[in-house]
Order: sequence, then structure tokens, then C-alpha cells
Amino acid sequence: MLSEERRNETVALDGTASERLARPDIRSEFGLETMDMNMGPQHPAMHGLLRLILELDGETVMRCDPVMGYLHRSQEKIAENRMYPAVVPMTDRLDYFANIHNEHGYVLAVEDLLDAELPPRAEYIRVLMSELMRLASHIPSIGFLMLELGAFTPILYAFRERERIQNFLEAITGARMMFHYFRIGGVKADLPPGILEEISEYLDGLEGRFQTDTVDLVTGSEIYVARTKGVGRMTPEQALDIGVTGPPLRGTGVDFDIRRDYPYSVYNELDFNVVTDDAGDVAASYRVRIGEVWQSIRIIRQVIEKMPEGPVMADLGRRLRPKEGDGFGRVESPRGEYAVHVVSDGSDSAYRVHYRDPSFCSMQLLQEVVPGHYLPDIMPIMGMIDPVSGGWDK
Amino acid sequence: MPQLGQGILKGMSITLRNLFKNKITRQYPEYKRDLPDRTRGMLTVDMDRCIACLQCMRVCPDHCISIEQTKRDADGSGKPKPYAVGFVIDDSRCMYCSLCVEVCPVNCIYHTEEFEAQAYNRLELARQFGERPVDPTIDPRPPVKKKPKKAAAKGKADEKADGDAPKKAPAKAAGKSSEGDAA
Repeated sequence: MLSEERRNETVALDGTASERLARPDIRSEFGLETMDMNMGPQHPAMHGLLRLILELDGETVMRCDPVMGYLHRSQEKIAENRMYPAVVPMTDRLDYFANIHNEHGYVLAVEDLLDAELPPRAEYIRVLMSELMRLASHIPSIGFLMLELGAFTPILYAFRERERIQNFLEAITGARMMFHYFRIGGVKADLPPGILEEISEYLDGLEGRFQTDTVDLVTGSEIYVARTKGVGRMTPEQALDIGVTGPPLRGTGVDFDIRRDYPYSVYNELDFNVVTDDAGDVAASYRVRIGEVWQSIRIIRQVIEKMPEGPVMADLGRRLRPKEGDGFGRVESPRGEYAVHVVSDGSDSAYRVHYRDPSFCSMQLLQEVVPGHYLPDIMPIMGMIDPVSGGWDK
Repeated sequence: MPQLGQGILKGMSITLRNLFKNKITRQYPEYKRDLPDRTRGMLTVDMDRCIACLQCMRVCPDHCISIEQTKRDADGSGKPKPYAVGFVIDDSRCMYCSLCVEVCPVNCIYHTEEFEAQAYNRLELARQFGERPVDPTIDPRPPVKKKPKKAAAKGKADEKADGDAPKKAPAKAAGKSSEGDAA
């Protein structure tokens, strides 16, 4: 048996070795196999705990299967067993890089259930917090992308800005990461005195620093261009089929933003542009993020200007008992569409809570887009999705 | 390509410019920054003001507060009132969500600026405030009752419509919980 194989092999040996390997008939005849490789779960460049099963043909990826669940905490079940207000601090733990948006989605869903009317100041404070959080998430996202390409400097500059924004968030909420600031019916407390002037002053400095330390530093770099241009390219149809939202979707040219198309809070009173790009690759999503940072700064300035006076909490009673039915809330988180569906059976706690997390849904992109790329291109593609472990595992 | 390398040079010049700016990192244990007024650090209780209403214990999502309650005539008015003999806050469970602080009617439980909670033993993190220590390992609240499935809930609704005996049970439960709230 073996000798016969050897004989066939010698007959077929013609041309160079790499040519032989490229011919599928020779591959199948001699049983030349692809190599399976595990990337993660503990990988220095991975966004949290994620295992990728890769089938490699040389350096080219043939198949990429993500294996999730290393950080699963059964958040949806926890949300069923707790009273409505007690779920809000747990939503902070979902996407721990943009917590405010998680809280916002959940409180919107419960307020939809309760038909609550919010005082305008609460809505403006929510938008202010959301956009500050978007800044604090987008700028390090760009830094993470560069970190995965091997550049260490941008992440340091990005985290410098994130820390400063976190100082504001800490002064407003009392915590640096797990804010628990949004409540069902408003926000926890009014803004501390003088914070709006401080934020406004900070934004003046941020505009200059962001232009030099992130945009100028990264955009022109030849290594960055070589590693991201044309990598992870998708067509708009493909992106819509996969269910990608957020910057990767807008990078393909689809003009979709929850803030404008399904406005929540007071986004319909604010003036901003939806940033799109038509290349559909990693570089395009980077450009979209850069553009969204400028738009967020613009929104925050308008919010500071328009901030009304008044209470920050609607009177919904101490005990929340929504009628039977379901509520839905969707927000534009920095990673895409974050939506919450809450079903009530008329008791203190929800009958069912479902989180649609953008990190989880965009992860399907790996199976569709990664095959055909080289192994080192996986990391820029991960940087394009910018998933967060707490988000995809829930 | 005449521009090749220019992007990198530009980047290096930006890095060089940042090199001569003030450092923003601080060496933490030696340098401690000022915390804002709203900082949510470890919880503490002013036992003189506590009226043992048990609301913080009920609202806590992580069941980290346990209170042992008795009736005692503490202020000498001749009327025995609820009194917290034991009060424990288990910091190994607490997530600093501040729900107990908001619900307290006499503002006796509040956050300090302390945030460095570390111990060699988990039980050391359970801080006792009362006269008598309370076992922090016992869950202060009964386990969550199993929720009726949708079909079961419907069945109950039908029974309610019939006006049978089971009608009493939910009403009683509701009454109990509202009493608890009032207390």
C-alpha cells in the first residue's frame, strides 16, 4: 500500500515544490493536509478571552471558527432574577469598555415598558454621558488597532485621553468604570457644579491633541497603510447579511446610525453627521472612527450649550411594577447597535431579558471575511470589529 | 516613491515632541490623587442613626448586607422599636452599586473614600458594625421563588377569574411584601 503511494509520488514529481503544493489534484492525491491551529484563548493580542480555530494552508487562513463562552456569566438569567432597578449595575458588566451605552439600552427598554416621561435635563445628561463614553471608547479602539499591528505609542496617547475622560465620568458618577449612573426614569444625580465648563475646556485641548497624537501619528504611516489597506474588505451586502453594525458597517458605505434613523433621548434635536466610507476594509473603519470622534465632540458642545435646567429624575414610584408586555430599547454603542428586549409578566422582575450585543453579532464576520487572508491579518480584522469579551459572552 | 518613510518620520517627530511634555503617570502607592466628592468607596454605617428598617438589606442585589434585628427601647421612650443588634457588610460580595445608600431613609449607610479592600481571608472582608457579629456566609434573604411559567401564570389568571380559594394566596403575599416595605 505504502510502496504504491511512493511510486505515484515519484511519477507526479515534476516542477518546483511550491508549484506541486499549489495544485489541488496533487494535494488530494498525496494527502497534503492543511494545518489546524488554535489562536487563544489566552493570546496577547486578543480582545479578551477568545479561541479561534484556524485551518491554515501555509500562511493563508482557510477557515476561522471563533469559540466563545470563556467569560459567560449568564447575565440574561441574572436579569430575570433581580428587580428592575437592580439589573442596571449588572448591565455595566456587559461591554465594560462602553458601560454607559449598556445602561442606556436597558433603561430605555424598561421606560418603554412603563411609558415613562423623562425630564429634559435627564435626557441631555444622558446624551452628554453617552458621547463622552463614545470618545473614551473610540480613541482607545484606534490605539488597540495599532497595538495589534505592533505600534505601542498610540495606545499610550489614547489611554491618556481615556483616563482624562474617566476623571469627568468619575466626578459625575462616583466610579471610574462601573458607573451605575442611569436610573429607570432619569439619572442618579445632577451634574456637579462647574463640570460643564471643565468638559468644554478639555474638549478644546482634545481637538488639538487628537489631531496630532492620533490622526497625524497613524494616518500617514507606511506600515499602517500596508497592514490595513484592503484587509478585511466586505461589500455592503455582505456586511448587511452578516449583521455587522457600527463603524465596520458604515465603513462599507451603508448609511445607518441608530442615533439618526431611530432617534432616542434628544438626538433628534442635535445636529451631527453620520460618517461613512466606501472602502469597506480595516482602514475605512478606522477613518469612520476618527470621523465619529469629531462628531462626538460636536455633539457634546451642542449639549453643553443647550443643557436645560430642571429635575433629573421622573417620579415613577418606588416600586417598579410594569404592566404585562414587552419593552424595547436600542442605542448606538461605539461597537454598533446595542438593543435590549425586556418582557414583563407584571411582577417585580422581568420575565425575560435579551441583550443584542454588537460584539457578539459582529463576530460572525470572522467566519465570512477572514478566510483567504494571511494569518497576521486576523488581528487588524479583530481591531476593525473591536469586540469586547464581556459583550460577546454576556 | 519619494514619500516613503515620511509618515514614519512624522510619527517619530510627534513622539519626540511628547517626550518633552510633562509626565502624566503617577506612582500610585506613593502618590494618591484627590478623589471626587461622589466617590463610591467601601460602605460604612453610622449605627447610632440606623433604625433597622432592613431596606438596604432587601434592595442589595448581591445580598452583601445582613442585619440582625430585635425590638429594644433604645431611647427610653417606653416603646420598643426595631434595633439592629448585628450589622455586617460583606465587601467580598459588594459591587459598590450604591442602591443601599439611595434607599436608606436616615442616610446612615454611606460610601467612604476608602477603596483598597484586601485581606488574607475572605471572612476578614466581612466588616461587623453591630454589638453582635452576624454570620456573613448565610444568605440574608430567602432563595428566589421559582417563577411560574407562562402557561402556569395563565392558569392562575383563569383561577382568579373563577374566584376560587387560590385568589387569597397572591393577595396575602402582596400584603406581606408591602408590610415589609412600610417597616
